[in-house]
Amino acid sequence: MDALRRWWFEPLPVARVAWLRTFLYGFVFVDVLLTTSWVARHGAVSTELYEPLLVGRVLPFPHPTKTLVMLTAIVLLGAAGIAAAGRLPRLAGSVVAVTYFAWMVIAFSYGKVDHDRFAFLVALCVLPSAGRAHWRDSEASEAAAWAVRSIQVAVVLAYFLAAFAKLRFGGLNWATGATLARALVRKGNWISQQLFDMPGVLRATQFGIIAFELASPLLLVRGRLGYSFLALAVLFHVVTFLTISIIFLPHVVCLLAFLPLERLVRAPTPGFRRASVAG
Amino acid sequence: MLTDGARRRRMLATVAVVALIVAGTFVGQDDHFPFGPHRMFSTRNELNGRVTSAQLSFTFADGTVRPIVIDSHTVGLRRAEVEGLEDRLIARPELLRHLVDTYERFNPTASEIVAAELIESTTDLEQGRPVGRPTTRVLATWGR
Repeated sequence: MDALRRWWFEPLPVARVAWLRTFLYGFVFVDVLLTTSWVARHGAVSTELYEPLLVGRVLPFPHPTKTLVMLTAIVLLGAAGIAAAGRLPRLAGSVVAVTYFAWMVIAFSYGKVDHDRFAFLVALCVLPSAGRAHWRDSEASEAAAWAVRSIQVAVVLAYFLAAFAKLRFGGLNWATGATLARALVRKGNWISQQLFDMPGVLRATQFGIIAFELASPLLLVRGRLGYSFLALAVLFHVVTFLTISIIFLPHVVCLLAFLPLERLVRAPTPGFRRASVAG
Repeated sequence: MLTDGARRRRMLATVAVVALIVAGTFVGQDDHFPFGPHRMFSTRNELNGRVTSAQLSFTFADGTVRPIVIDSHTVGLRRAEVEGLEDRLIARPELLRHLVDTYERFNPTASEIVAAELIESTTDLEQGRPVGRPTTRVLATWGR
């Protein structure tokens, strides 16, 4: 228990939180305006086709009319802009978390739920809790550690639990089925057409996916092993995109939490300052 | 340094979220978002089974009949969403009118749409490879 507590709270660089905020809140713009711009078009769909998720039925979410969808987007992007700049981290960050959640209810209440958001939602919830953070901060803090660790664990859980979802819905022999073939028929492109002619490759890939997901806790290992697995994860997402044009982008952005982002800008150290004065 | 209380609150939140997502994986459904199971591509398809996908066909006032790619740019919803709503659209075909309305809103210069068909296209698989031409079946129709 003590070791676990130490792992969650052993201070990590505050600057990493600042960089994560810039990247993740910045990504909200990419998400809303480019990569999942279809969410906004739900505003053009009759609310008669709206089938709210459980959370949308329990909490008083109004039906997403055109005006409401636009208002939500404006508040969300406004707050994300402020938070990405590192201003009002708690207030703006909390507004982003709440309005992005509302955005998700608008997104997933029309017959289909996507599964690429868990880590990103966790990130939006924990980032405000670390308080003030600057890209050049040289401090480390427990609050930053908890925020970063939470995002890392959410990423690992998303992979790891996906393996169990496959066992639950696909059964023990999921890996020997034609799941990828189905995805290629529905979403395929030129590259994937070549794959139909390589018997065994698709099934081997399915075994590989399960193995990859079950091994995902290795991401949390320090040093070369962890970084190698991180590279493997990125490769996995790139190949998925090239073959079936699907990329779990909000999840992929969260992989940044495994990188020493604080090194993007070196904090001015006393030694460095002396050297530059001398030079 | 965090106070003991601040640390305890964070640990409690962590335990609660982990418990919910683990529970959601084993007994939850998509409806329990964001704690539902991460079930992307989790269902198993038979090697000699079939793959279905939804299509739309609109009849315009000038008599032309055109297949319409189901996409948020055409009818405001993605194909998988229309497929998710399929049971309702079959039970109440008049709901197809809403997809027509959105299409007309996005294409104000197109001629009026007088009828719509929701179609299921089926591709057969043999040893995991698509064979033959897809067959189609009308699931629901709507007309003015």
